[in-house]
Amino acid sequence: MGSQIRVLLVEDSADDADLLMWELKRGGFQPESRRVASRESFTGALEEGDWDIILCDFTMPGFSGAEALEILHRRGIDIPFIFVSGTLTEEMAVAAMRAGAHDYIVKDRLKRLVPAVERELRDATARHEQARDRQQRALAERRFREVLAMAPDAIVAADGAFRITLYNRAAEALFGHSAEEAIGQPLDLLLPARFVANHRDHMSDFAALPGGVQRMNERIEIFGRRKDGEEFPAEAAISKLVEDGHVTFMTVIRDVSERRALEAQLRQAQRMEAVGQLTGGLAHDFNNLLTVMIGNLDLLLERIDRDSEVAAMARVALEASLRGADLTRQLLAFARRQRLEPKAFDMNERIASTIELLRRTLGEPVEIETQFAADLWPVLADPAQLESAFANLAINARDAMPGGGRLVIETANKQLDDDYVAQNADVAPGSYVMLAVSDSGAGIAPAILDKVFDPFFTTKEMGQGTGLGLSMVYGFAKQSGGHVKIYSEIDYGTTVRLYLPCGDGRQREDAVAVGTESPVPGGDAKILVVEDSAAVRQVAVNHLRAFGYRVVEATSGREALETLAADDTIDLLFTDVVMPGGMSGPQLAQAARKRRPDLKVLFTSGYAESAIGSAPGAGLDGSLLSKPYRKDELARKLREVLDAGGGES
Amino acid sequence: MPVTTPSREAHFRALLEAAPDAVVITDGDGNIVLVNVQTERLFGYARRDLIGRPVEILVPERLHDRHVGHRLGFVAAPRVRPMGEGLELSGRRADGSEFPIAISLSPADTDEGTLVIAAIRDVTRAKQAEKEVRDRETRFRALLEAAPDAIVIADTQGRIELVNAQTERLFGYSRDRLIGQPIEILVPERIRRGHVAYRDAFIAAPRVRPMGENRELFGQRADGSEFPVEISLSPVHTEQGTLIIAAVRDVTDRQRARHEIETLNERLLRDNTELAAVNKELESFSYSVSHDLRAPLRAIDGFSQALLEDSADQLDDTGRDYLNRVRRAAQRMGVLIDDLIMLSRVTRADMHLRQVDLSALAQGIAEDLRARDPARMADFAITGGLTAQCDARLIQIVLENLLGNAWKFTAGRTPTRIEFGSCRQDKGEAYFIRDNGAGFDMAHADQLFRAFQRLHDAARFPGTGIGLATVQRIVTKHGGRIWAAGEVDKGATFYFTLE
Amino acid sequence: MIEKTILLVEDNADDEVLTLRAFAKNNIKNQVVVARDGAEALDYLFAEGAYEGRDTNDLPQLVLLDLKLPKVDGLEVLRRIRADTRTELLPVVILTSSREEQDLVQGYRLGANSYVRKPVNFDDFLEAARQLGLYWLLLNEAPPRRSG
Repeated sequence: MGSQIRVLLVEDSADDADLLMWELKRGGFQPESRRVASRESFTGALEEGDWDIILCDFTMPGFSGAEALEILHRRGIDIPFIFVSGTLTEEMAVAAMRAGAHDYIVKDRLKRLVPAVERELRDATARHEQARDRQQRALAERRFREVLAMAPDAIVAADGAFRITLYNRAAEALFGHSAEEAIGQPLDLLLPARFVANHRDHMSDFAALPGGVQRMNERIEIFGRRKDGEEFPAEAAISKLVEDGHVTFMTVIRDVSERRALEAQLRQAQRMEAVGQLTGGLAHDFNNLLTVMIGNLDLLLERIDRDSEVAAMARVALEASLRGADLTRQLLAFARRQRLEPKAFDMNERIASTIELLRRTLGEPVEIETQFAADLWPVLADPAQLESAFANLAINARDAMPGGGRLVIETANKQLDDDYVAQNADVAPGSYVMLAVSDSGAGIAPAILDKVFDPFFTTKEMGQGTGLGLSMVYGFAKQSGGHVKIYSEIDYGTTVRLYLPCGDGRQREDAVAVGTESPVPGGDAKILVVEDSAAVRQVAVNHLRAFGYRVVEATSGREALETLAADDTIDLLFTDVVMPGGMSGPQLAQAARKRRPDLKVLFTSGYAESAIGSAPGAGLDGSLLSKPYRKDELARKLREVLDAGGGES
Repeated sequence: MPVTTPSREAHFRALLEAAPDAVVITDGDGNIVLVNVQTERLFGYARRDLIGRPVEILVPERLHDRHVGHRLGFVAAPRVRPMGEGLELSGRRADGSEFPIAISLSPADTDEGTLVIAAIRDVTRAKQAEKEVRDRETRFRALLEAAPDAIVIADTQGRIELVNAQTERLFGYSRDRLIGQPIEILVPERIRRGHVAYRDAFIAAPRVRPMGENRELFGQRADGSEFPVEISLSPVHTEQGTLIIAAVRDVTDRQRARHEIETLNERLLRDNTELAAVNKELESFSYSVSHDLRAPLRAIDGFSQALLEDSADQLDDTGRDYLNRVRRAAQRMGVLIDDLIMLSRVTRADMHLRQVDLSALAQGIAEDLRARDPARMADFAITGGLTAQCDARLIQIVLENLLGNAWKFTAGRTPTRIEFGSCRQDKGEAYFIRDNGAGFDMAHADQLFRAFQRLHDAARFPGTGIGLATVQRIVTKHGGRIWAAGEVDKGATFYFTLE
Repeated sequence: MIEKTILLVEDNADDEVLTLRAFAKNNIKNQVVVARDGAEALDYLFAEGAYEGRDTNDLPQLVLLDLKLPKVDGLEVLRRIRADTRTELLPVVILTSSREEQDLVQGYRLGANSYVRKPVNFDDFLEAARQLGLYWLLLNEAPPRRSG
């Protein structure tokens, strides 16, 4: 076989070298060789590298085969090394062997050379392959070791006696024990005491399963214990390895407290939503009951002498119910937090009526001054929210003036230009409607001025006022695409300016004038009252009769449809929006209008208008009167609907 | 070279005994001629037990035949054989135990013919070290497979070199479809181009880091679907160059939870108010409702009552009727508020589980009810000794509500019979409260527990509708279930379980 | 013997009227002094401010204390009553409109003798007032002679 080999000859005799080459050629090799005879030339040749075999004389002047072998070994170079010597002694043989030569050939028996070289080349190949394999294994190990080190999860291995044998960096971070502290300890170290027994049972069962490498479970949920004793929820993957009867358990542990916290947050959020919904539902009941209270007191007041003591007492009760209605509206608007749809409306009007409601709450020592811009642009916001925000501002102002003082309420049109925006990052330039509430109170220290909108911040004790705070105002402004500015000077007072986007005014909101005392317009139209609550129905019916209307009653949508079918002289349908029994007010109106397209409709509801708007199939096609309502509100609204042209009021 | 003179022999012997390895010299027939002290030590034989015996005495029996072959081959073509790393050789001690060895052989021509000198070294340690490397590799590989994360190892060209089982599962590819592929196979198409740039940037400055700290990352499965992932990267420097290890974690669940929270938050808050703030606000809300809203109600009821008493002469029946209606509405609203507060408190409450004597609680409540209306003929049948692991305060509310309802709906029933007991359910014990009162139509059974979903006939079913919702919430909090059975005019039974 | 006074600390005018009415209905004829906030109540008890010169030995037989008060809140009033040797034994009954436990627990911790929840239903309030009168005005103190 004419295989090419590179031979390094360490030989002082050129003749001997030629002889060796000749022998190799004869043996079928195509040797390429270099002869060296000194330490320097030998190391130089090694550095140039890539020799297949070294044939080395035992003794040379100034250099020896033993030295050459030693250099080779020191450098960790694995090249077949065969001594070729003129003489051989036992000592030399033993020494050569001990030194790690691969073979030993006596020059006068050169016929052994070729088989020896062939064999050594073969062995060397096998050795190199083995070394490469080992190297690859080591490499793989390093990779895995790296994976282990960098693993975002804690990795802990334990032996059959559940003693920790491996413990990575993430485990150190997770459990708090250093690897030194943990290795050799029982696995129980990492578990809450109450789970230890259970865990041991589990692991023993697992250990008893037949088979080598095994995964116990995709993921199991466990609790871990940190060095400081703190417990945390974790997710673990466990595998078992059996080798030569030795068991190793490997556990990959991931701290899931963050996820648990997220889940808990989610549950909390859902809980909150549940309470929110509940409170929303409560609005209906509260407002029905308030309608009954207000309605019956209104009715009573009509029957008795205005100036009597009885009337005075009834008015106290009535005022209390109006206050209850006001509070209910504010509190529920706050608690509900449903998607409230902003609309364009006249802020002056709304604020004016709210001031009337607030007068009693604010108390006599507070002097109220209004500076309303006459040409105020319509504001685009949620009216109920605006009321709440304003009430909060007014109540805060009052609280800032315990001994009384001046409350100035101002409205104005404002253009916020780029300069202003540059200084107030959270607002866009444009046209705004401003509401400013100023007090003559003690003022707020500059240090806490920027904290007053913080939801946690309160200068009040829990339980004073509504406790809802300025955070609501801030939230409202941000939600509405507006902006709040607070300005305060110690001893002079505080001004809060609320900037709200301006609306185009096309969708004017229906005016709500609670408690105004203008003459009540009546009529003789025939009205169908649909209301499931008997007490509320009674109030409505009594009011309507008092206005002169003819009244027919129904307690459900179905009953109302029957009545309508039987009586085509009914002019107007006055119906609750949310009713039990499968048919809502809007559905009733729709069905009724199919038969009577000219039928006029007035809805009433204890839910906020916006909440109804988002209810499925609501589609309010008509005017809405919110509960609780006063007698005269009802009268005015009815007149409006009856006077509007056609049936599409 | 013949070893003849005594001095040379002595010298040779000394050399032999000084050798670090066990040296065994055999004749051409494989019989042991000479051994040194290391041989005795290594194999546990005395010299005299070895001399003259076939060398196979030192070889495990199962290998005898093969060894004889080797030996004969060697004698036919003798040469110096080095300590072979490659060959798996085993020695056998006098006690029969085996151990791994390395042997070098050399022939020595003597007057007695060719002798074979074998130097034998115990390589147990070396073998063990080698095995350890192998074990570690196996162990790390198993670890890699056990990792709950998908682990992908790629070269600097972005070609996948290695993946684990979780990668196959997560991405839906078998291993062989991934190895050698560009890593981008696991990245959604729309961002592959960008990914190559990220990869190059990482390779230019590799370090251990989580990938895309501020970005949402996505993986793409074999079927083309995408899912959110979290990735941490680290480089390994090897002789063949740098490799990149990526641990990929599916965060769909977490992402979903996060998105749900975000959506809920948006719906709930629509602004940046924290959940915690809302919770606090809810607390102050409850507080405000109970304080502020009750004040006007007290005034309404109180003044209406005063009117009824003080001004009876100025009022006709209709006027008095109006006032009574006002009072009823005010009182009902008061009850509603109380119930709401209770419900919100239950919702917020933390659980304190302990063993609670339900029978004793029920007994106490029954006595209270009886004391409220001593004239009423009522028969309470309370099974004794019923206990459960639960929150005592909350379960008190449950029993108060259920027994209170039973008491209410049996008004006018003579005799009133109210029962508290337990029965076996498929999953543990169910407690029940049974009455012979007004009952309800089973058609409405599922509406009972919905707050404000009042059954229509308020006269037949008074109460706020919050009470049962509260009860249900408490039972659910305990991991239990509540349901009811009833028939109009025959009575009702409420069942509940506790985890 | 002249009936001793009752100090009613209540800021809500409606509640004040109703409380007085409830006393009247239950034949509680004690003179009732009304303080509209916590500060006024303390001034009265310790003869300060507007009440300067009042005999501090003339303590009311009972203090009915609303918890939610302007200026100085009810719990603080209670704390100061218990901190002063002159008033530390004065019977104090808390009036509360809620059943919020935090208030009650805090009230009892500060040494309240009892509490009355202001019910919406006036009839219940009458009953509460009756109990109040029975216990705190008649039974709790051994009176030198029985009141008619």
